[in-house]
Amino acid sequence: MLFGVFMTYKAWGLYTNCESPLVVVLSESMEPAFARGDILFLSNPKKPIEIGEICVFKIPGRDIPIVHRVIDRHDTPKEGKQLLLTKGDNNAMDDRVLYQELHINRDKMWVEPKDVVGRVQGFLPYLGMFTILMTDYPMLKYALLSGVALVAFLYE
Amino acid sequence: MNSLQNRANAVLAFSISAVFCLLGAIALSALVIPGSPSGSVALSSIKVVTGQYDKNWINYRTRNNEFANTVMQIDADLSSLFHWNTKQLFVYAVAEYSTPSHPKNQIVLWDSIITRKARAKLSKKGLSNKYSLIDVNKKWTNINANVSLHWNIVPYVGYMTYGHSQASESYKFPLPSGTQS
Repeated sequence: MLFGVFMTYKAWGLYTNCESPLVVVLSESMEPAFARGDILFLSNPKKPIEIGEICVFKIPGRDIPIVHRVIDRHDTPKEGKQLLLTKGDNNAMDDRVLYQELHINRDKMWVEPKDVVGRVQGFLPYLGMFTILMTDYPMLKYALLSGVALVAFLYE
Repeated sequence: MNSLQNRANAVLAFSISAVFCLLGAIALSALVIPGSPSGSVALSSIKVVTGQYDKNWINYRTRNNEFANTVMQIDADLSSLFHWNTKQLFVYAVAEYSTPSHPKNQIVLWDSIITRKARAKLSKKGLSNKYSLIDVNKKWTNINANVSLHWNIVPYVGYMTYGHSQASESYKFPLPSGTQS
């Protein structure tokens, strides 16, 4: 059963060209569009990123991806090379401060398509709260797992 | 066979499937509900001034970057985009232009989040750009831009959809006329 779910997820990842086609929103920076615990469905088509699209991107050297909206777009003549500036709907400033936070990125002015791991296509509210609760309170995870094990042990 | 546990399990499984079918139907319905949005943006003035972007941002540290300051007029009626699956509209005015080094450029001048149908009629005059209008090459000479109104419908559940108005006439950026304070 678990193997089937895993394979379906991977096949879906291949179809959408996204390593992880589902992400859970972790911050309030896109409120009121996306709240903490909402699930986003991603895909990463080859066509150029449009203005106003919401992208998930990774800044080199930072582990946690950022989900923000594209507010500037400059396409170069080279195919697939774009310069993008992003901003969270709920933030007052654009994201350059985030791009340049690490010393290795102190000259980074733009996000480029190679930094983008997915583009938001769909939305499902609240359900990601489970994973947030489990990461915030690891005891809950163990309690749930042992509960499942206990039920399986008692009733099978 | 018909233990309490079995019954509870069946009810739970059925209600989960039912909820997901309903969510799917709502998500799909949003794609076929017709809307008749209308909108337009016009620029009543453009001024170009030179200035410093921000002393902390290394690449733009020089003082002679050209910024365009625009005054916009926005008229729109997007109330028909509000239906049972519309959580909010993200509305944004976009300037589009082309330069020899970058064939397609788009910059958001102004944006707004609309969460209620009653607020979806826009009639704004004398609106200044909210974000800096500066090109990658930091110069505006010999560039023509048009403006248009874009919107993104964020659903309660389902697909993100986008739309935009027709582009305005083309505006030519003037020569720099002063320094930004």
